[in-house]
Amino acid sequence: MQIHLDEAICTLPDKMRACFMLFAIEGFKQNEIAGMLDVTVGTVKSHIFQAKEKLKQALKGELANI
Amino acid sequence: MTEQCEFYKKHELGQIDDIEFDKHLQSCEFCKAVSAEDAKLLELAQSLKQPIGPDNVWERLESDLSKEKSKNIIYLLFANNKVLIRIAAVLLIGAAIGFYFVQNNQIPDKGVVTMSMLEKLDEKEQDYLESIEELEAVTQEKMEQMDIGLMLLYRDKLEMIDEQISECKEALSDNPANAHIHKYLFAALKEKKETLKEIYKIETNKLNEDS
Repeated sequence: MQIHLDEAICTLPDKMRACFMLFAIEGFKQNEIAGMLDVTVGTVKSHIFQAKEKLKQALKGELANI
Repeated sequence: MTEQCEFYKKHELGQIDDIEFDKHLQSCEFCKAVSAEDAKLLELAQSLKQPIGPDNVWERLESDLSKEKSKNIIYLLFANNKVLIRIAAVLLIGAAIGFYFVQNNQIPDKGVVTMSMLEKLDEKEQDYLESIEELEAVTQEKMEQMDIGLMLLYRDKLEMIDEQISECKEALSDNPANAHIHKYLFAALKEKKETLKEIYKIETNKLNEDS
């Protein structure tokens, strides 16, 4: 399961992947990520939302089994 | 979850705040399910913080480490052997030098006599002393009849030799294996014996002349 998620994360676009990893894995807040990547908080939220949608799609029904 | 709801998306994009979304969650099954799925995804993502290793990674690591350890042990043994060989060589050379010196010091010329040599020397000393004793017994009476000047000369000489003998004996009591002291002692004994013989001969000749 972890490997699948890791592979799915690797397929994300660079900025989206960076936002998701900083938020979900490293635990930074959205405004902190915005400062780091020099983008708006709205952009960060959008990237994270899209990343989650893509990852859910990639993992399909696997999340339901957890 | 077939019915789509925009609340979740709006909340995610920051268009709806947390309080409003929490209220909505109580009534919307779709948003509740999506939020639960989100939570699982984030939980799974958190677990990625720990590095993921391939299967049997620990077994492989342990076997590699044990191989490395055995290599190191062999190397250490080899290195230790080198050190041991060096120590053995140094000890062997030291022992050889020590043996050489011990052997050389046992030669009488170097000042120390062996036990067998010492026994022989004692025997000779004893022979000398016995013959001197006999000569002293013979010459004692004759010396009393001798010319006073000559008698004093011989007496002084004998006293000097006796002093030398006693000094040698005293030195030998501290160092019985010293060849040099034995040499001086023999010289003194020989000198005393010769002197006594000389006295015996003089007296005998004189007595013969008188008769």
